[in-house]
Amino acid sequence: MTIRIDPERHEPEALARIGATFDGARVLEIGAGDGRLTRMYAARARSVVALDSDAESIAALRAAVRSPNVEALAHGFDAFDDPRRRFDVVLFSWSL
Amino acid sequence: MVHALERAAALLAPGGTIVDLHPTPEPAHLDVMIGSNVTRIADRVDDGSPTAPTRRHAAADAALAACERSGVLIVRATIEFTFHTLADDVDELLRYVATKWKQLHFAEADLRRARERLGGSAGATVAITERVRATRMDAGR
Repeated sequence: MTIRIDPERHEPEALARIGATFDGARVLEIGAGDGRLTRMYAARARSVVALDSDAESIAALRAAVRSPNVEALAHGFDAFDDPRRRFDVVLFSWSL
Repeated sequence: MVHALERAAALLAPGGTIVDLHPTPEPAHLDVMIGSNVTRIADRVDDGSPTAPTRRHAAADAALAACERSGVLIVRATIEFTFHTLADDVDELLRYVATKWKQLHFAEADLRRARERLGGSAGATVAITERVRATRMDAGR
């Protein structure tokens, strides 16, 4: 068998309970890793910028989330510098 | 961390929100689960050193609290939940941890106890159990 992460789906349930909504949103995800969370909401978001300083993780994310609205960048939040962009949701994905 | 939260707040569109997920400072622990029967194998799976994940998670809590106090962020909702990472055997879990979770530390005696408890029981799993907090915040001033 494989590793099962949050098989009870407590994490998406918690996000729903705090009123986090990604529907139609421009999302900046910080510490996206291999896209475990990105996969959950990307199809509903308007656009996603997924950041992670680990290049291998970002490669895994790109392979797992093949969606034209997802831009996956292999650098940390410190290096993200695009003053023109604004987001409806900034998600710290286990990354603070 | 405070700087990261301040930068995040500055990147929000009007009406935007910040969502944070991070484990609580409570140490992750190791369990063996057989059906609904849960046996605690180890109360913590880090070495308690200054670089241990628990210290980082406490710092994240402090950063959120500082941003709330200073008015940079307004906390709208928060909730804690249990988060399991499950494997069918100890070696599978260790392989996963070695690639994804480098700051964990398992005592040999605990691993031996986990293997004994798992035995050949059908449906038995070994689990790292964490408490995680989800918080939704709006930008303040």
